[in-house]
This record gives sequence, structure tokens and C-alpha cells, in this order.
Amino acid sequence: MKAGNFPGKWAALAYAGLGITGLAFTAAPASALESRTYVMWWFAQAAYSQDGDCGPGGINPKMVDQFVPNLKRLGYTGQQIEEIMKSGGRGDDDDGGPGGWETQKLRQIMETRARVEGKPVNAFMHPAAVIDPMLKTVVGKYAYGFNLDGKGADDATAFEDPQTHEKGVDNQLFRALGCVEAYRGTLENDNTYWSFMWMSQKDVTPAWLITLEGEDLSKDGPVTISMTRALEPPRYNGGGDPRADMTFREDSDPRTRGNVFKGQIKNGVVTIAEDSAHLHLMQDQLTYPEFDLGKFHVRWTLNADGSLNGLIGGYQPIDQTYFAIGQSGQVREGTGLAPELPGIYHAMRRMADGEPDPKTGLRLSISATYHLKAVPAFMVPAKEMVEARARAVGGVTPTAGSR
Amino acid sequence: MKTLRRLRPVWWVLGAAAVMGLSASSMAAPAVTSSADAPRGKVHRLTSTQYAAVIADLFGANINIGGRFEPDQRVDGLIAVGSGQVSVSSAGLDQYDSMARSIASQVLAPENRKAVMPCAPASDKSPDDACAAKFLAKTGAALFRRPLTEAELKAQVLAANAAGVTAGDFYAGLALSLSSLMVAPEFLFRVEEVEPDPAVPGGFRLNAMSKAQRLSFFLWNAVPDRELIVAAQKGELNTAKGLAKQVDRMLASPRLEEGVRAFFDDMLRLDGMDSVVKDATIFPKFDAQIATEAREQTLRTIMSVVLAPKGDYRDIFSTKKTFMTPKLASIYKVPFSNDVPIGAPDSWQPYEFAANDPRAGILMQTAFLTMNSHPGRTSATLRGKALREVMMCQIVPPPPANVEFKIVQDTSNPNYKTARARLTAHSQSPACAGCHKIIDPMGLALENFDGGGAYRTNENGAALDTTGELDRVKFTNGAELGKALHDNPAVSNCLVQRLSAYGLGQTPAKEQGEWVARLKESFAKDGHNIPALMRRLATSPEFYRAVGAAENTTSAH
Repeated sequence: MKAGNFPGKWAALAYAGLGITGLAFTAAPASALESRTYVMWWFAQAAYSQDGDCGPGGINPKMVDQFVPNLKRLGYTGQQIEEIMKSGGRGDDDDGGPGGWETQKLRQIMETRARVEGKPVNAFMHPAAVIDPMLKTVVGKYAYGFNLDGKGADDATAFEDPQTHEKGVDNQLFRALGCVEAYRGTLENDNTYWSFMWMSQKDVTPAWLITLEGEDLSKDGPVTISMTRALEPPRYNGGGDPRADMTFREDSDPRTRGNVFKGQIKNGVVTIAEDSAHLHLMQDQLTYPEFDLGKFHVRWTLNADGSLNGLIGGYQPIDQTYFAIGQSGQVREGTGLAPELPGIYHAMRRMADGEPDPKTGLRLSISATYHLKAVPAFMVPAKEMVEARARAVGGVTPTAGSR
Repeated sequence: MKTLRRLRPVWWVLGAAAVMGLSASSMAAPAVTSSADAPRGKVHRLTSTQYAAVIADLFGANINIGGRFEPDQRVDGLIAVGSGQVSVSSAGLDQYDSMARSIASQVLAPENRKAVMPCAPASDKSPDDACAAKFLAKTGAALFRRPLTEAELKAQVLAANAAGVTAGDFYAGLALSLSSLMVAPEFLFRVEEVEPDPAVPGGFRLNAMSKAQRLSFFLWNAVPDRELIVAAQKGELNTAKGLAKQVDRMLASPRLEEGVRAFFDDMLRLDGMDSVVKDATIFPKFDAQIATEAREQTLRTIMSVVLAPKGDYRDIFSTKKTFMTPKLASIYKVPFSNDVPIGAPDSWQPYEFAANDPRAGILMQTAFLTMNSHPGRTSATLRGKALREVMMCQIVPPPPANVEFKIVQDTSNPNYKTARARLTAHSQSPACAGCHKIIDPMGLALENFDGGGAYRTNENGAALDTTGELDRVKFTNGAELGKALHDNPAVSNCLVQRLSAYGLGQTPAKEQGEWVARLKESFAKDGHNIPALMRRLATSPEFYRAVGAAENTTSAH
């Protein structure tokens, strides 16, 4: 055999590699702007729970302690309630977990405690048809967020942001949920509900991607903010911390795209610089199948280690917000993740402050603030993926993308 | 196969007696002449990768080997050489026995047996000597790399019969014999036999079957295939034309890649990636998967260079082309996406670093950078030492016993922010200065890459000086160091030295010096093409000649 006569797969691969790389260079956008992409690896409602912020008597009772009041509101007599509770009653689980749900009878009563035309129906799907248990709401001074409507700075009952000390902060979702134990927390110690939800979904939920583009992102100045969704979930290192510098393919689903906003950077903090921004993204089935924030605001810090973290806020549709929590109904009530779900719905309704229905005056959305953390990543835009797939030899462009 | 455990001790003892009496360095080949001056045939214990390759080759890749191998030993830079100087301990034999029994039971399990059985027994529940003999003759020849002798086959059939009767299961009996073949010294050790060499009066050469074995492990890292065995049996390997025909056939086979991979895995000590540990707080991206992928990346890079048409070995130090996975790309901080269905496992794709990317060649890949670093920091000394020893076949003496490492280990000392500053201070000691002067410059050229393989421009806020010199060739960074190594004759000469030793199973002997020198010249003339060099080695009578004791590495070139 002659030297160099090896027309095997390595020759073919070498040619394929050349073709792909050549394509990559042509696919890379020629731009003088600096671009950074981040992948969100943590997402939770922004809470600022403090001692005493629910007023006298503290927070709302646990689910197990809601059974008797619920039964009373349903019209059961004292004796009937005693019999029902005796057959099940408080179990081993203080949160009203499985022990408190031992009897099928009690479970059925709680599941169907809504009434439509006098008939019992599913309470979690028809929360408005359950008598409002009037859950307590936050009366404290502070909440993370933004003054979305520009009003309320002089209102003594309005929230003040503990970081910026902006007054008139609109975060009624925190006010509505902040006295339910599972929703209490801080940015440093995220609440139980969101921690559970994120931890259980993070490895399968397609990641959200954030891209900042500007002349020099290390300096103050205008910036374009883009948010989109990837095909892949975030990746994590062996120790559980987020894996930076991974590459994600943008989802071509039109419902995840078009979130491009004017923003600005000042002192390393990114904010939205337009008044009518609206965020719409797909997330996942268990947190938010679809996620909307009207009058979208952000406050993100660009950290020295290259990461990004901060808040997003805006008005979120009530139905979207409730059903994300209420869809698993009994499971979440039973495990203490979302006790007294119809009560939560009513609290949201009572606290709703956005998007008045022109006919009824009913508020259809509620101001909310979420906390997110992100690390540097690369993105292959959906368009480039399609083009590359059509043109590449033996694969898709490995180097196209933005950062 | 319920009674296999009950029968096992008898055969285990027989196997143990045979194997423990044997070590690769002491065993005399059985067919060697009785002349007192005759060289002894060489014996090499199968390396762990060879064992795995042989089992996969013979029985399929789905067979789980399990167990733990006796540790391989690297001598003169190669496990292939060290395998000729090791034996089997009693604990090791126990492991081999466990693996053999497990493998045999898998091979002859109902779902697999059809693929390996050349016949069907008259009954599954009782012995069938004729069928057992067919299977054992075929499989035994492949395991022993030679046909079983009549006595060997008879003994195995007898054992299968006895066990089959006891167990009431033909396959249980057969499994016992199969497992005993796999703890036999003829399987665990590659035994080479010599015969008088008619071309060299008074000289000796490997006999035809041993030639086939050496050739097959050299080119394919596998046992000889049927065609090679037939050629050996016909005596064709003893003719230049017949040998060349087989060598060319094997070089043209896709199986060549396995052989070349095995060589580079050994030469570059990539088995070391199995034991690389990093401080997760400092290098959180490094994990076991990265270690595996990094090893594979370097091997794929090398294969794509050296097996490409007219591939020049030296280009492994300068190529921008490699192969990538998404996780590795995150260490390199380059965009890389697999075009695979959502949720599909990561896969490999060709990748080329951009022209302005600081990386080029295998020295700036994760495998070399992480393997030659400490768990929490880089080591210019380890990297420089590896380049001297692995790539240039030089020997770096160990540090003095009383050496003080405090300065080099303290990365937080504000007076010595960079590795260069620390090593400069450390080398003030005359006892240390000599070696570090030779080792460190090349290692310092790679300081732009941290102990986890990531690129950096400074250490502790201080800019990195990556300049240096190799044999009067100056370089300013890792890529230029790669170019300097690419052009350094010691590097290509080292490759010839290592590949020769790998094929021979020992460092070339003193009397083979001229032959190796000619190979070095040919390697350059052939454009530093590895398959061409393998052909020159494999078709050379010197490659099969029985010689005396080997020279050590440094004196052989």
C-alpha cells in the first residue's frame, strides 16, 4: 500500500468539517455592536417576606387548618364536621399532606367545594365558584418591583422597593400570595413553591435566552434587549451550578419570538427604556405554559463574573397566573405547595390592579415581579439554523451564533 | 448454568496454577530451541484495552466485561513495553476469573449464543462433544491466537462434558470451558515463539503464528483475523511478498484506526484522563464526562490528521481542526450546537477553531491541559515535563528529595502572581534551576490555559508572559510553541522511537539502532506519514527478528 492512500472516513470528515466551518463564518453576523447572550437558569417570583408583614396574627393557616372553616362555609353542621374530621383529620403531615387527606370523603368534599347552580364542581377549575375564604394579604412596606403606572408614590400603603427605594411599586401578586407560607421568601432564599417548581422543571424546560446588544456593554448607553426561548433546557455542572458558555438553538415557534425592547445600561444595570413593552414567551406546562407581562420592565445587574441577575416585572393576566398554580389542584393543596387554591384565586382577584375590562371594570391582570439568574451562553438564531441545515455538508454550522 | 459455581474451584485452581507460574518477563516460549544462546520468545500480558478489544471483537460489543484489571505498567513511555514486564497477582487472577465467568455466561446466554455457536447441540440438557469441540476449537483458536493443540482441545471438551452432565445443561458445561480458556496464560499473555532465521545464520525470528499475532496487535490492536491466520499457516508471512500483501490489506482496513488509536492513547498516556480530578469550586465545568470527551477529542483530532490522505504527524501540533461536543465547547467558550432532535444525546461533530482563536493542536486541548495540571491550578512544570518526555522521548530527572515547593504552590502570594514569577523564585535554588530551565519554558507557553482547560489572559490580575525558546527557536505563545514542536526533529524522531517500541513490545535493542535510524530518515522522506511508517515497520524483517535485551529510551536515539 502506498503512503497517503487512505480514502476512508477521515478524508470525508475533513472535507465535511471544512464545509461547515466555511459556512459558519459566512453565517456570523457582521456587526460592530457588542452582543452578549445569557441563558436563564433560575426563575422565581420575587418575594421580600419580612416578619410582621402580614399584620396581627401572622400568616394564613396551613391547609390542614382550613378544612373546618371550609366545611362550615359549605354548610356542614358541627356534628357532620366532627364526623368528617374524625374519619380523616389532621395527619402526621403538619402541612396537611397525605395524612390530612386520608379519607376519600374529605378529599372529595375539598375537591368539589365549588358550587355552580348549587351543584358541587371542581374547586380548582372553578375557583370563583368557591366562597372567598378571605386569605390575609401582605401589609408590609416593601416589595421588589417597579412603579408600573407611575402612580402611588405618595400612597402610604403602596410598596417601596427595598433595593432602589422607588415608591409606588406595583407588585400585587406578592401582596396576594405573600402571606401563604409556601410563597414566602427572599431573593436570597427563594420561596418553597418556586424552588420546588424550578428544581423539578429546570432540566426539561426549554431555556429562556436573553441577548443584549449595544456599542459597548461595559459602558452606559442604549442597549437592545431580546428575549427568546431555546430548544434545549439549561445545562448544569456536576455540582448543580449552571453551566456557562453552552450553545442553545433558538426555537422558531413564533410565540416565543418578537420580544425585542429598547433598553439602557447605567452603572452596570440594564433597564427597559420604553413604556409599552410587552413580554410574551412560552415556558413549560407546570410553571407557565405561556408567560405574559404587560408594561414589561427589567432591572438586571451585569456582574463582574459575566453573569446576569435581576428582576422582570409587569402586569400578568390573572387567569394565566392562577391556572399555572391551580392546574395541579389537589396535588398542590395536599402537599402544601399551594394551600387553599380558591382562596389564592380570590386574593389575586382582590389585589388585581392592571388591565381593567372596559365593560365590567374587572381587573384582568395583576402586577408581578419575578427574579431570574442567567449565565453567559451562545445562541444559534432560528433563521441561521434553518439556513445552515440547508447548506451544511453532513451537519449544521457549529460556530454560528451570537454571544 | 446453576452448577457453574460448584464446579468452579477445580478449574480455578488449574488456571491459577498455570497463570501464576507465569510472568511476562520470565516466561519462556514453549517452542523455543533448546540452544543456550537462543533468545527467548517474548511474553506480554494483554493490556486492559486489548482485553476489552479482543472480547468485543470475538463476542460482540454488547458483552459487559465488568471487573477490574491488574494495573497496567508503563515502561519507557509505553504500556505496550511495560506489558512485557508484568505478571498476574493472585488477586488479579481472581478478577480475571470473575470476568471470564461473567463473559462466558453472557456469550452463551440464550439471547447471544446463536451468534457464536457454529452448531446446535443434540440437546440443551446434556453434553454434545462434537458440537462442543467445534465451538471450542473455533473460539479457542481466536483466544489463543493459534489453533488449540489436540490435547488442549480434548481437555476442554472433556471438561465441558463433565460440567454439562453435572449441571444437566450443555451450555453451562461449555461456559465452564470457555471461561477456563479465558484465564489460561495463552489468552492472558501474548506468547511469541521464535525459530531459527534462515536469512541470518545463527539468528532467530518469530515463527509465522507469532508474526501474525504481532502484526495484528500492532496494526489493529486485535487478534489476527482468519485471513491472517491462514496466511501464517501457509507460510506466506515468511515471504516478503506474502507479508506485504497482508500488511497492505490490514493498512487498508477500517480496523487500522483502532490500532492507531491504541498507539496514541498509549504514547500520549491518555489513560491518565481516567484519574484526573479537579477542584470543583475552581473548575466547576470539569467532570467525568468531560474527561472522557477530552480524551476522545484528542484521539479524534489525531486520527483525522494522521489517517487523512498524506497526513503529516507533526500537524497534530498545529491543526485548527478538531471534533467537538456541546459540553467541551463550553470549556473552550466557543459556540457549538448539535443539529440533533430535542433531547437527543450530545454527539460529535467536526469543528475548526477560528483563525484568531489562540488554540491550535492537541497541546491546547482539554486533555493535555487538564491531565498535566494540578487539581486547582496549572503546572508549567508538569506540562513542560510531559512535552519533554512524551513528545520528545527525553527523560526528566525527578526533583531532589529535599526540594521546597512552598513558593510554587502558593498562588495567593501577592509577590508572585503568575506561575512564571513563582517558578522564577523557586528556581533560585541551584538544585532546582537546571531542570526547570529545560522544562518550564514550554510549559509557561501554555499558561494562557488554566488547569481546567479554559483560556485566560492573566493570573491574579497580572498579565501572562508566555514567551520562551526551544532549541534556539523562540515562541511567544502556545500556538508558536506548537509550531516549534512541529518543526523540531526530536519530536518526529520520538514518534519513530515510540512506534517501533510499541510494535516490538520493547524498546529497540542496541543492535536495532541502525534500523531505527533508517526508519527516522524514511519517516521524514515519507512526509511524516504514520501509515507509511507502520508499513515500513511491519514489512521489515527486523520487526520480527528475535534480539537480545533492549536499550533504554535515551540511549536508543
